[in-house]
Amino acid sequence: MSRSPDSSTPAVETRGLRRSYPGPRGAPEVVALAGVDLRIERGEVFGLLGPNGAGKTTCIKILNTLLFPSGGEARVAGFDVVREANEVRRRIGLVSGGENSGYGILTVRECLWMFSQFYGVPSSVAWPRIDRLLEVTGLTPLARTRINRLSTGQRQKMNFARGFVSEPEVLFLDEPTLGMDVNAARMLREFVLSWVRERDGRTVLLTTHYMAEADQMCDRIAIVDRGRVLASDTPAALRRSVQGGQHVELEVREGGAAESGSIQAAVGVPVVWGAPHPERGTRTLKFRLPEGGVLGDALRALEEIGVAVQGISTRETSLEDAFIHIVGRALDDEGAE
Amino acid sequence: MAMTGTFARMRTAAWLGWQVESNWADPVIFFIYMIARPLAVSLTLAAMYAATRSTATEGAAFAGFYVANAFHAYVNTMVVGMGWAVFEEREEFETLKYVYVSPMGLVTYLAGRSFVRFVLGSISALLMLLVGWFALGVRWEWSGVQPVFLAITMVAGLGATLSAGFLLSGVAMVLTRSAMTVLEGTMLGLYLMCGVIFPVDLLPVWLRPLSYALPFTWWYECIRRFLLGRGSSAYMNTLSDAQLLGAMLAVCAAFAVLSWLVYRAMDRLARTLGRLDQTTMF
Repeated sequence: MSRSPDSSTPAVETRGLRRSYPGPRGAPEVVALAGVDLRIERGEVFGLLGPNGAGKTTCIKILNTLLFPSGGEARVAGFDVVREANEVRRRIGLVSGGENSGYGILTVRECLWMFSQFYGVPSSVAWPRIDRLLEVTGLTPLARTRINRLSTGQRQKMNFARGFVSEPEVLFLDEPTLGMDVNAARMLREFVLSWVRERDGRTVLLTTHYMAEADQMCDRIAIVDRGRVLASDTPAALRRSVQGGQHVELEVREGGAAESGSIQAAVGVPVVWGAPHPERGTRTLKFRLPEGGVLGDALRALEEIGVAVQGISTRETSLEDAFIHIVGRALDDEGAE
Repeated sequence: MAMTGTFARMRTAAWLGWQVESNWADPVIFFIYMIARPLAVSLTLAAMYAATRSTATEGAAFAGFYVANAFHAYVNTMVVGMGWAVFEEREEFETLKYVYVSPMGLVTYLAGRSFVRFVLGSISALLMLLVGWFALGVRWEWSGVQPVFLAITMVAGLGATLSAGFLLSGVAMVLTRSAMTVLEGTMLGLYLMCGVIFPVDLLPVWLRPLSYALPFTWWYECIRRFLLGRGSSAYMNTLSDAQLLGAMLAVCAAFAVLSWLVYRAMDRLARTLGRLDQTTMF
């Protein structure tokens, strides 16, 4: 008998969640999660953003009852993932991207129906839902094709659809668009957003290392690295958390007398040289204006030390800037582990 | 209501099991394979019998081992099939984790998958008995058959087979590359240890207690006693019908409890080690 959870409980809550793996051949243990605290409210699209090895997938596995934590506590829809795993399983769905999974001997439609039965969805409800999902994922023409005849991308779309056949309360999307073409990924992102908005109280926990995906889809984001949550807030708030104003990119003439040190002194903030443009004899100079700084003042200071500015562009702080600021390196940097 | 849901899910798993079992070939080839396999076992046994007949083996003894071989089809198909299902789901289809985290649960799923194996095992056993009856002279007196004891024997034996299937499924959850070796080794061990092909009395003395601890040893002996009217083990022949049946029920019950405990322990170990979505072979 399924128990009724208290609807005021968060969709996902972890306290001091830890997980470590034994190191190979006597090496020190590998810490995948080092005390993660999360609180995801019902109805949210929440993102876990971090480099490979940050602990995102380990966290998802624990929340899906596939893996025991080494310590701490995790609850999904109000139920403990260790002690009340069966209650958790009634309420969740899982989609893992970049996989080639599926029963090759079944057709796409059969496979989706089978999983709907595993979740106890009546066939009369399941079939229209499956047809709608096939339409959304563009698989309608392949509905009666055996899975072993599908390309990797088509299998991924089928697996994506599989996650929705049971209309779960909490849906875990682990890198769902990994390896998908741009159009398919965009279409599926839009579908997830409409799915959440049209259904009261449905929650999505998304892991990704695509900045744009997290920025576009998530109500809130937790930036994780080396098993720890470094920051958690709305994308806008994370961007605002980066001190400073506009990002400025100047195209300056090469061969000027001014050196980096004097340029830095002139604009008053660290500068970074970007790519040269030999065909125009220029090079890009990047810096972020200090809070309240005026671009005109910086340009005048540069002119005074003999820097010839050929072009100017500015942009607001991006999520990527916030990520670099918080984590200390870019998402795809070496050493991300 | 919950029971209805469980049966519906089990039925779906059985449907999948049938697709997996039957879809590797077209229906005609599958049908031929279904007949050819038990027929080959029957002929192999007949050849072995013919080779040894002039020396030691009597016709009645042959009938006892032939019948045990026929029912061993359940162990071969169900036990290996359930262990293999876990291995196949994780390594080949990469779907084990999705089945595991569904509300159906792996236990219901495996029970459903085992049903198809049960049907295939039944067909195999029936075909072997028919070949034995009509071609090899493996017959019994219908008046000597003890239907109630035999029915109880069959239920308990099939229950033990299902238990062994769960035990090996649990082990397959934890093992990775070595899972297939363990499955095949277990099947060979059971074939040699349980009085399927020769009497338990021929085992080394130190190995016999292990043989008597296995439910299949008692199951096959009960089938021989209650169907053919004659057992094969000197020790078991000293027991009355009721004692033999009681001993078999006790061993099967103990084995079922042990298998379930091992399955649960392996389930927990698999979640501790993170084995449920590990692929290693393909």
